[in-house]
Parts: sequence; C-alpha cells; structure tokens
Amino acid sequence: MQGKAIVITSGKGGVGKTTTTANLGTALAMLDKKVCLIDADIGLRNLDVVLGLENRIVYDLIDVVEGNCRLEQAMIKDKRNQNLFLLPAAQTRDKDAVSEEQMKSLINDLKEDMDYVLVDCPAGIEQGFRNAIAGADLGLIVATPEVSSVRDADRIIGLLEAEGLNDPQLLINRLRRDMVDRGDMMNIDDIVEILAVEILGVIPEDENIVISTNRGEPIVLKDKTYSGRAFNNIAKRIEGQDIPLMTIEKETFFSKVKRIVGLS
Amino acid sequence: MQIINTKMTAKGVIIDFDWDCEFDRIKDSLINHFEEAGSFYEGTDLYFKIGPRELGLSYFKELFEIAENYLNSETGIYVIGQEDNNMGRELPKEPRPKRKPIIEEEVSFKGDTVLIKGTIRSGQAVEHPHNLVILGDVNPGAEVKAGGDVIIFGRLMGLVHAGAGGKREAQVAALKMAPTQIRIANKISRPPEDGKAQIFNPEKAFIKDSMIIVEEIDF
Repeated sequence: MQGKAIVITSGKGGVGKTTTTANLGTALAMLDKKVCLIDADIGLRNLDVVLGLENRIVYDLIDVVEGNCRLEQAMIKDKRNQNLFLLPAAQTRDKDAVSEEQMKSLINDLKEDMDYVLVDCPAGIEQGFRNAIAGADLGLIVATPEVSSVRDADRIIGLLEAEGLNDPQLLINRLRRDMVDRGDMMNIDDIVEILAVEILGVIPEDENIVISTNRGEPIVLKDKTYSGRAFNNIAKRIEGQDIPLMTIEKETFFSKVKRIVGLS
Repeated sequence: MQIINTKMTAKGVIIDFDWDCEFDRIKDSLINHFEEAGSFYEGTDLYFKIGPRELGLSYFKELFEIAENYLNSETGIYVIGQEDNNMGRELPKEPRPKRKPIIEEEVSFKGDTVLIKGTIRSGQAVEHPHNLVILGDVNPGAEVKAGGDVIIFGRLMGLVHAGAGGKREAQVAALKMAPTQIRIANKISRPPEDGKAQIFNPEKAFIKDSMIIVEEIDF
C-alpha cells in the first residue's frame, strides 16, 4: 500500500489546523481508510488533547526518531476507531529535536501501511514548518475569512510551491454566514480570488467545535452538526467523491454593492 | 593518595575521601578544603562518595554539618555509592547501619530529596535520581521523573514517574490527584475515562499486586 501524506498548515496560529487534522483523520477513518495523524508541533502538542488520547502517550515522535522505541510502539490507536492512529509530539523538547530527513523517512515508513498520513503543522514558517512539510505529497491550507489569515495563507502557498508542493488545496474555516451576508466578513469568492487555489471545503463557525475539542471528541462523530457534516464532506472529497460545497452563496448585500462599484 | 579528591562532573562536584585515614583527619581536610574553596561551590551540587566499607551514620552527619557551615542553602549535598559512576541512575547503596532508623530518615532526607518550589508547567520536565518534593502544582503536559518517591503539595494534573530506575516500592502522593498518567517503576496507569467524581482529599499511588493503586491518604 502506498498512502498519501497530507500536511495541514496555515502559517497563522489559531485558525484550526489541529481541529481540522483531528476531524479529517477521524472522518477518513470512518470511511474505512487506515489513517495515521502526526503531531509535528513539538513542544506545543495539542492533537492528543483534541482526540482525547493525552493520557495514553508513552512514547512520542522524538522517541521514534532517536531510536528509543519502534514506530509501532509510539502509535496510539484511537479509542473509538481502530483505523485511526496518532503519533504524538514530544512536549518537553523543541522543534530542533527532529530533522527534515528524519520526518521524511518516518512519513515514508508510515505510508507503507496507511492510506493517509495527516501531518498537523505548527504555526509559523520556521524549522517546525519545514519539518512538517518535508514528507508531504499534498498541502492543505487552513484559512479563516480574515485578512491576516489569508495573507499568511498566501505566504504559505508560496513556501510550499518553493518546496515543490504544488497545487495546495484550501479549507476555509469559521465562516459566519450571517456576517458574510451583512458584508462584514470576506466571502469564499474573495478568498479564492486572492489565493487562486482549489477550494476543498468550507467549515462554518460552530460553537459545538469548542465543546468537542474540550471534550476530546471530534465533531465528525456528530453528523447532525453543520461543522461535523462539513468535515465529513471534505473527507469524501479527499477520497475523490464529488460532493458540492455546503454553503451556497446567495447574492448578498455586500456582493451587490461590489457589483455596483465594479469590484467584481 | 590525598585525603580528599574532587572531581568535576556535569552534575556537580564529587568528593571522594580516603577512608583508610582517621576520621578526624578526614574532617580537618574537609574543613581546609572548604576554607580554600571559598565561594567555589555556590550553585553547584556536591556529592559525597561513600567508602567501600560501611560507614557509621554519625560520621556522615558530621561531614554534612561541616559542609553546611560553608555552603549556602542552595547547594545540594548528596551521597553516592562507590560503584555508582554514572551518578544518579541508581539509588545509593545503604551506607548507614540499620539500627538507627529514626535519624537515618533524617540523613536520607538531607541527602536524597530535592525540594522544588513553584508550579511545573506544560513542557517543563523535572528529573531527579532520588525523592522529589514539589511545593506547587504539576500542570497537564508537565513531566516529573524521580528515582524514588514523588510528593506534591499541590494538584497533580500532569505525568509523574516515580521509581524510574525500577524501584517498585516508590510512591506518588498529591493533595489532589488528577494526573494524565502515573508511572511507578515499569508500570503505567491512567485514570478511568469516566472519572467524573473528583476527590479533593490527598491521595497516594503505589504498586500493589503488580497494579498501580490510588487511595486516599489516611491521616
């Protein structure tokens, strides 16, 4: 089996990389795919908490690359889905404890028996970012509809392309329909226009996300919630299914004004 | 051979004594040594090397007293075994006669235990070859590792490994037990998933029948 390694990155912090990694991983595993999630945020690990697996960590990524344990020993099987595994980051080390070559060979090893390897990238563009993207086949950019986030996403797309990771895909997170309708928030078209990349999905702002991450239970387990369904749709799109975007834009006051002023 | 030999290591200074000498001469040399050293030992830890033969408790007490006169309170004084060259991986061999159990405790406290004041936060790791006492909380994401017991005068919410060198009798005690994980010697345990019931009384964890048991401390 030769799996696909996807790095989930954003540049800016707090836009939902870890939440996205946890939920897409769980969603793909629910589609009967074997998935391993790697927390590349060494020193500031969170993915284990969001998945509710924090208390099961014995070995971590650094132990694997330093040869303190075998790869299988460090992989934590998810408590809800046996197709899902987590390779946690070390909390008491820093980003320099692992090199790009080590990450690359680790991800290549994992791809041997996984369908998907999702790498949760740390914020920033330093060593941690370079480690995270080292073995990836595809970049998945998470951005929120804010100017600062889109600006950082643009920078990241440039850096990914410089590393040979072309055609990254975009995931817009925390979109608030009411604010877009009022013209107070960038809409999907605005963002896609700036970034000029393919859009993979849109996640609406949802307070259930906060509840689910705090409890350590991914939101995709609740398909009733909008955000859970959105993540499940994205997982299906990654799998190659043709699922239309959930948030269908109607003509808003904002876009009307833009049309009149001649912006679009 | 000189009566006192010192050796610098990464962890501190090891002082080795020529135990074949009379004890009074050893004491005098130690006093002379500290006189000469001045403030040299400030901030470094000091390790007394135990002689090959069993040495009476009172001798060590005297050596400790001398050392304490010359050192400030921040300098740790430890005892290490003769064969224990990699310092701190293992507990020192019992140097003291068994028949004085009460004072033995006192010396063992001085020599082995390190006191840490303050909260251990996420990403911080504390490691000590012997016992650890923490006056503060151990937050989630923090790691505390000790060769002996770990006592926390605060909330334990992170990871604690007691008896890390394999000492199965090691215990963990905390004013409030809400750990991510507790490890004692080679055993690992995590709290039950549905652990809603929060106990606010002090608890201790220890190995019983190859399992880590947590129970309330009975005063």
